[in-house]
Amino acid sequence: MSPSTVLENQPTFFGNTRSQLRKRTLLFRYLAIINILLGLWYIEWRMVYSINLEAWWFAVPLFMAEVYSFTGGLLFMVGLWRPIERQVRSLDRLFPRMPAEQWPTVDVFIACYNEPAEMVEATARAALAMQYIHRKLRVYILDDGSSPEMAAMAERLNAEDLDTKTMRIVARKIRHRRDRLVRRIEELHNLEPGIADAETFLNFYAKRQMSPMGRMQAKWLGSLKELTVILNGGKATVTDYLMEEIADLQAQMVRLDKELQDLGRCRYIARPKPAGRPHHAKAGNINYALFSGETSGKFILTLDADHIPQAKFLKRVLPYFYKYELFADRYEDNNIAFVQTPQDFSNLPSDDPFGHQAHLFYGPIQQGKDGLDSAFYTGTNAILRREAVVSVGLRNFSSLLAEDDDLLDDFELVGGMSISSITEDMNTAMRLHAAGWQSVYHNEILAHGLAPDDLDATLKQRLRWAQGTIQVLTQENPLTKQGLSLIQRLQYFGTMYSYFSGFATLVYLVCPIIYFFTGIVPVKSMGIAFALHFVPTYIINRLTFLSVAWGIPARELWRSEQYAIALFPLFIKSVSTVFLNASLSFQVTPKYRKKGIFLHLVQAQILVLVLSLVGMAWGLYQYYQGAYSDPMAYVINVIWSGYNITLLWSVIGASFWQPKVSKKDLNLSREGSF
Amino acid sequence: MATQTQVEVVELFGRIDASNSDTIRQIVKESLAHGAGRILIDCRQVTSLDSSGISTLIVALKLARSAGGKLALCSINDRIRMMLQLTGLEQVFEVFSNRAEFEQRYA
Repeated sequence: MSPSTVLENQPTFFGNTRSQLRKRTLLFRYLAIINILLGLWYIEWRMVYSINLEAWWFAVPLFMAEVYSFTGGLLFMVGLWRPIERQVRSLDRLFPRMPAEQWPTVDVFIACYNEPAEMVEATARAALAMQYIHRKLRVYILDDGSSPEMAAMAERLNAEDLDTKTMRIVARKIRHRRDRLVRRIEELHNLEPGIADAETFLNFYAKRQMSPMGRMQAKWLGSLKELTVILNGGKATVTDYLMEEIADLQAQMVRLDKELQDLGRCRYIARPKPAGRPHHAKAGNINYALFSGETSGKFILTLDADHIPQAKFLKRVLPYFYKYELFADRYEDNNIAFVQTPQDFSNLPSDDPFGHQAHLFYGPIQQGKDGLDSAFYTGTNAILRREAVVSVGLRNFSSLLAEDDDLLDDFELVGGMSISSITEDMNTAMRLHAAGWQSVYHNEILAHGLAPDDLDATLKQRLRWAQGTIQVLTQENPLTKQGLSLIQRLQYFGTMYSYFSGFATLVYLVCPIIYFFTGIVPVKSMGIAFALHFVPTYIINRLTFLSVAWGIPARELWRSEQYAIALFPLFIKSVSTVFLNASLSFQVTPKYRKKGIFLHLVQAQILVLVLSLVGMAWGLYQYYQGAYSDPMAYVINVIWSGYNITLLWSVIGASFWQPKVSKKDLNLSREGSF
Repeated sequence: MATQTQVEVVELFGRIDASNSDTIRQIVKESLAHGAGRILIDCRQVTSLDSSGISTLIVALKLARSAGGKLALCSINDRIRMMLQLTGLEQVFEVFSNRAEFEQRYA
């Protein structure tokens, strides 16, 4: 899929940013309406005419699952009703130009926990190399693991950065100004004794209106004396004035010295983690950096430890935060709290066994959310406005403080990003939206990251997303949260709703199995009438989906569909753990591949797979025994079950997936070992 | 004087934001280290303050409390008052209309 058009050199539109309706949206809306009407017709047929009440114990769950899916589809279509594509001019090509002194200060926060130092180093290096005014960019390594290697790496990187040509020039300029100050102070010091004598002389003769040279000259001395009083700026004597001037220059010197000390652009922050107190995971780590006093950038680029930003990142994204005021003739801050860019992975095998490609999400779905003022913040590859995060954080903090006065002690950890969910990113974004801030999704790949490449890590990550999202629903239900617009409520709720799919999926998987072993069908007729209602509904549903997913490789779409179904045990687990109030821990996604076979992680899927296969065989046997009155029902159930198996196979296959080792890799490792 | 709590007044100037957060907390820390039990932050000359500025004041309050001391504000202008109201933090700080009122109360 192509990233959004880059308009660095070819400004073809007026203004600095532009948004327009995504291509094929009208086709999508047309199909969506037909889809909804057909869906209602199908649901009505199922409810009124076809529920097999004799087998209500599984006919009713199936019907409910279908209603769940239909509602989910409805929310999905609402979310995609107005997707927008944005275009932006780069910061150095704005029209009118933004003067360099107005470019804002930017802090890069690289949050890490126990990642290898080399990985973080690559990210920090890329961040330091971003095209920007050197003195306005700082990179902070927020090391929640407090590892000495990480600290040493940061220090080394900082020293290296200070030694680059550009930074040496910056330092030299400051030193040059300092040298001038030193010379000036010295000059003034040298003047001091002479001036004191001259002033005494002047005072003596000006007062007496006489001079050794004559009356005329005495008058001149008098005028000179008066002039010094005027130029002194209210000081009693010229010497006082001189001393004040020297003091002022010395203060300037102190400031320059501080600037010199402060030049380092790569900093390391490891917060203290006192035992017995909540640390609030990643949110706590970022909040500590926000409030530690060591960071002060107006904007904050958050990066995960393994996400390498491109050099143009800041220039492409920062313009969204400004609007040009024609009458004031300057750029002013607007109401945008954050700009999210896509996540892209550089380590995916071509068949993407774990389903990490997310062009559907970082594409139409985000564009849809963006069009309805509710772009999703996903924790990395996004720039946040400090003022927005802090002001909303403070407001939330004050309400917490009203309940618990002791919370003041934890202010640095809870005052900014939300700490009440393990998906702090989503919760923070929702609070920003509720407080009236706006957001942008910019569909241009500006950073490359690593995706987990074993099943264990993948499942941990997905479980955290699912649990965190449902957690937000139980704590800050978007349907009732004050400040959100109706459409924003639906957007957030739609995302949360989709994580309840595990139960419906289970029903879909089990239905054909029950049929094979009992011969009971949940639908009154599994024959022509069923096909007549189901097939058109299903086809139009697929077409609607395709109009959204246009341009995304079919293989990727299939993979994401497989995972949406195959992860059903994980989704069920996430709902039950949240509702049973189990304490959830923020599981940091492991960054090293674990070798091995993970069949134990997919037991439920294997069970369903085996039951389906055995069921089909048993059904066939029954059929030859003449036990079935309706052979069509068997065929439909075999198709259904076969479809289920192909969906489940993705995750089962992934559990014993091993990377193909290419010859090149082998050679490299061989060279490495010698 | 020895029996009374030591009072220290910190005067702030200009714009209070993230860039001077560290300086302010250093000053408060020093005052506390010198034994000041009651710190007054005089905002008469503060021209503006953003959310980060408020968070600095909260950190200062926290520092004072954890050292067993008190921290109050005085002479806050309408803008600062508004920021405090917007963030719901007005009740958290003890606020005096000016330094004289504070001195009258605690001198």
